[in-house]
Amino acid sequence: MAEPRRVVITGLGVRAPGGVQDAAGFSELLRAGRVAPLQGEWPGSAMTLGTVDAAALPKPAQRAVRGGSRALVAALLVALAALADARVTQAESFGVVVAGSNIAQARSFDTTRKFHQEPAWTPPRHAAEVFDTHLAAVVAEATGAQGPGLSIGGASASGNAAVAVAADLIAMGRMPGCLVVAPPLDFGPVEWQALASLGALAPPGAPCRPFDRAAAGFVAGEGCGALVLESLEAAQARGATPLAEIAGHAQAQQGRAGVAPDAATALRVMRAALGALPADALGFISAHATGTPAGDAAEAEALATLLGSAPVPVNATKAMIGHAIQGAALLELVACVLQLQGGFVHGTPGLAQPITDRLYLPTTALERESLYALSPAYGFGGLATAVLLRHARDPA
Amino acid sequence: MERSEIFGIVARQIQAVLPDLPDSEIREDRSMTELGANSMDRVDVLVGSMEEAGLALPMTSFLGVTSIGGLVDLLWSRHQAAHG
Repeated sequence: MAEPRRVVITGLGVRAPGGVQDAAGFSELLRAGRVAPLQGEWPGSAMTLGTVDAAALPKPAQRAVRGGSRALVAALLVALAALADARVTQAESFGVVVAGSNIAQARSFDTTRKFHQEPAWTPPRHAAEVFDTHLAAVVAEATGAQGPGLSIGGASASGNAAVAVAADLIAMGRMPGCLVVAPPLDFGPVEWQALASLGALAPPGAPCRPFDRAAAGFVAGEGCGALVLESLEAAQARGATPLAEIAGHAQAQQGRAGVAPDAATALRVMRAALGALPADALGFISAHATGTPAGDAAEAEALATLLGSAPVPVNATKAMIGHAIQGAALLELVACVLQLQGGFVHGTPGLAQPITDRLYLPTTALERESLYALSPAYGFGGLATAVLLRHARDPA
Repeated sequence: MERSEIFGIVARQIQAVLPDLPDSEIREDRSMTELGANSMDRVDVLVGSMEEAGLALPMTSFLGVTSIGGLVDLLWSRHQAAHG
């Protein structure tokens, strides 16, 4: 079997709470430690992405999205932004990997309501849109991508899971490159009610407080992101500048269904993603840190064990943009690339009473060049993932 | 409901699936296929138009309809029959 190809990130697109419309805006928010206003009317997330306008799409993309949901339009906007950022002009050989599963629950809820009113009024489009790969098809039509199209779900770890699978397909030579697209969360009232009843949501008006004794649950934030992944050789062949390399990744299950977190599984995937790299070689760790007391405690335990006395800063992006759930892990990978590229490590604003003194948790940004960043993400069902990124400035 | 209102409903439904289409392109003598609608778009327009017109017809009713004008005629006649 041929040597696996090295896989690099060559472009990114992002929309996030706080008026973030692009990578530059996201970088500015992270560096400044600006906390986006998140809380809307309960239940459900505030529509923190603001206006999402299909008219902002180029004409062929408008036709591809065809009356699609707000989430579908936003996802297509970031996918096109990532391709433009990577300066990809010929996407024929590219794949499209959707990060997330059941990505159109609000739409499905509305369709179900319509069905109850009159079955004949069920939009036939539902038969296609109910599959998460519909987004892959829309992106393919808008970009001309004709490589593999698939969706990879992993609850709140979907972004990491999708990047891992996409990177492996590229490493094996199944495709030279692809777009990994995480659409914004599109939960319906049923999902929000279930999360609230589960006790996972912070009460209305409460801030997102990862790693803080005052943490009271997560605060949803509507955000979406996209990455262009390519083999290093494909990127070099077209003269592209890699931003970061996928230097490692790992996925595991706790082996217990349910929502309880587990420090041992978290530690296991972080160690597996690092491989031979010592933990003290990391420039920073972008924690999953949702602001949910049980989850944060388990993660802090795993991080403290991994790092020992190594003074590696740990930060929590969700303190600023909330929890994008299915989109969260991909947004955090985008944040990691921006920090590697920008020579900074963002802080965790609002952290007043840390739940542990065994971690280095800066509250404001550090100006610091990093070579490696680790981004763990966890999902309901005991899913654990971690992606190791390496700055692409010097060849390894 | 006037026939022109039915045409307005159909035109709106076509614009929902073909958002980049100029209004002037939607004429009674054209077919949706000519305008660029695919098979899913076309049935979406039929169902969306039925809903807006308050009709629930079996999909087989639309067999033989070849133009936008033909669709408006069918919906209008069924609407007249149902609501007078």
